[in-house]
Amino acid sequence: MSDTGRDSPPEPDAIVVTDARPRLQVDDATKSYGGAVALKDVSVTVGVGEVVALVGHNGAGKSTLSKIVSGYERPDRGEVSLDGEVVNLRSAKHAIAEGIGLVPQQLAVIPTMTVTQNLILGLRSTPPGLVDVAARLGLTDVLNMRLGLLGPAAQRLVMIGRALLRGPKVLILDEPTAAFSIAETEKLFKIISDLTADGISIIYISHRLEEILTIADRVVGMSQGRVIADRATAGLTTDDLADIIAGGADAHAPSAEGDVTFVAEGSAAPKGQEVLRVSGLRTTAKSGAATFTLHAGEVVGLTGLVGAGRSSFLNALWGTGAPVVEGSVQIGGRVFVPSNPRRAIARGLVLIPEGRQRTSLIPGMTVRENAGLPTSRRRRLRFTPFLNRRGERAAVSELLAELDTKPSRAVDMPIEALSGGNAQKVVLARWLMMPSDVALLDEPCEGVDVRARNEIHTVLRAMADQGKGVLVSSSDVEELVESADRILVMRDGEIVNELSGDAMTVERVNRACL
Amino acid sequence: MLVMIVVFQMLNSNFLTVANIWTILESAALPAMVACALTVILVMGEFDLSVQAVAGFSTTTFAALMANWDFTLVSAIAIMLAAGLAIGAATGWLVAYQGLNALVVTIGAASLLNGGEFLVSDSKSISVGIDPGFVKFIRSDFHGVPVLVIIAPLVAALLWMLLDRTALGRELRSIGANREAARFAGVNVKRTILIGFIITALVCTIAGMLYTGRAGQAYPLTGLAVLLPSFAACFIGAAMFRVGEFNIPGTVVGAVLASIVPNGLLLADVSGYSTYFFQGGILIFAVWFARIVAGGEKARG
Repeated sequence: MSDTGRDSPPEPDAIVVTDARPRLQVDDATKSYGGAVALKDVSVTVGVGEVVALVGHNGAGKSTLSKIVSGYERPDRGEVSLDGEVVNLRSAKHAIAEGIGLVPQQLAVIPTMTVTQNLILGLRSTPPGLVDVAARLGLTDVLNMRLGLLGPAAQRLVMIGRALLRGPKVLILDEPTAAFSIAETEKLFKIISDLTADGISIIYISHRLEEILTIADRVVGMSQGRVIADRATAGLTTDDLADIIAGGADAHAPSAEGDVTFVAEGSAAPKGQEVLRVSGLRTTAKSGAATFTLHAGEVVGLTGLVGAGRSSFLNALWGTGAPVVEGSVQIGGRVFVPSNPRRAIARGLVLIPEGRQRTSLIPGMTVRENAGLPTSRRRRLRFTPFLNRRGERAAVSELLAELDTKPSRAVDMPIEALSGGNAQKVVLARWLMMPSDVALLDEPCEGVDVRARNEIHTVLRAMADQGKGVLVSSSDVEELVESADRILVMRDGEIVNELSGDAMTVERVNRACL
Repeated sequence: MLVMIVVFQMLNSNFLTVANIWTILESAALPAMVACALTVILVMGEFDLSVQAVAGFSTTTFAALMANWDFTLVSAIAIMLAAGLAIGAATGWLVAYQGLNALVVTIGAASLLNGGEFLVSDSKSISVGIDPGFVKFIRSDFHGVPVLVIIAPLVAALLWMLLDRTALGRELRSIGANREAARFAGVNVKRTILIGFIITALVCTIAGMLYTGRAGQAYPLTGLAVLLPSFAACFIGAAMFRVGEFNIPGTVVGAVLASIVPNGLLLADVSGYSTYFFQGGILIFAVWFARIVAGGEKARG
């Protein structure tokens, strides 16, 4: 984090924008998903032509708030008003009609169509504003080019253009500069200034501190579903902003001052032999290169913001992700070239991937068959090609009982009959049956309840005690702080920080992620 | 099914005689083998429209090898098995390793093989020169049970054990149910798909050779007419057993059902072209039915 945050002069009258009725007002919005509160009594205002930045950690409630404002979700309580009038948003379509446009983080364009075709997608006729919008976005010269030939920045602009063609009063930009160069970001900021001059209000969601200070008039900080700060950006520094995002009093504790860097080794639990060494590993997915070591007997956490490259890094080791560009990996002191899961397994490395529905569970198979899939070739009856089903059933049953899987006789049930947490235990059992020295887990507690989460972490600790090196990737910093021996922080594919011992607090880890 | 049998019995009292039941089962034997072969492909979520062409090519070429080129029975069988392996390896390689669409590849392969039939037979009917011992064996009975009615269930049982009781079978099924998860679990997806295509082509080749013996002659494009009934059998099986999943026992039952219809229609003295209506109708109905069964399952889950 550099100190270039003081670009905007600290004029005291910079807050005057919110003079009359606000353009958009959210009052006491509350939203929970099946017991988990995503948003609690959130009130936010956005003035006419104002740029409000929404900041906060993963799960702070930014997405939920933007979904409610753009009509994708309805709040359990609270209301949204536009120009002083309450609007009861029924759907995204309704929100668009009322003048609220959302430009989501994911690119949703059709590369084989021209820019014009992409812009007017979903509209019945060519709208009269097309030329004007194209001019504003600087797309006039490329209107007839296929969008796939243009870069991600142009594709992002096309998505903004789509929202603009519908004449919005409020535009929500979710991480618009994710794939932008500095020049492209400057161009986008000129466009945003141009829009605000016309009275269009902007909600700007981003993790990039300098950008926020440059473009936003006001910054709203969120944490755990609540608004924890609402301040004008004038006079703020990137450090102030980092404090807001880190969000706790602990960030101001003396021990948290200054840049947190590599803590002296030895402060963590005694380590066994090195089982995994990653040196400067870079994939085509991210620009940074990762370097770290993992020892037998320790549980190491890996965290970072969404998009920091944790999954693509782990999948690269497993041979199912983006190809490796440079760097080297050693397992147990011998060089390992990531190529496919079978090679990794043969070298004693297993990965429990993120998103179990997509990457782990086989629908239509029983729990036993699901758990036994990778090990089935090792479990044949002697001199035959046939599976030792009895042996497999015994092994799976035993593991599931150890993991306290419910229901207790799940082994012959179809996998679909199990709840998320229990299905995750089946995935865990699958890889516990495979002999390994290094276990990588990508978001193992995604969508499981607190109890199952504790049980999973108990199992990970037990694996480490058996002499394995365990690396757990999670965006839940609290979970890692509680369970890991040390925590690695990744940003753009690079391990930028390592915290252990006293330095390993939720606030400091959160800060290190930015 | 019962309704169908009752109706056919009412239309012609010969329908439910012992002799006719053996006739039905014997005529169902080879289509059932092909249908079981197709099941292996469908289980891994791929398609194969060349099953009939592979079997037909095998029928004609097998006859031509013995009649036109004077190969012995054993060497002809060996050559045909090698050919079946090569055909399966070629289509499987194109689909698995080159990422081509299985539908298109197998339609193309089917046309090539149809042309091949004319090439090897010189567009002539082959009836003299086929090993008479082989023909006699295929047409013989074993304690009153036609030989084919013994062979086909054996092949089906082998394929069933392959799919249900071996690691390879589990991998084939995992590829069909969730290819991404299979890959993450360390399954060699490409090689497994290739092997699946080879197994299917081999079984179809065997069925084609057996048909040479059953017919005692060969002429291009007059081999087993099994494309639609095979698909119908697989989908009927998927709908009846193990809701929504392709499986060998279901396919066998489906194949027998699909064979009852033409036989019953023949005995009921319905004009020949109505088979087209029934085959098409049954196929669409079977797919639809499988969909309904599977859809209901998903809605509950």
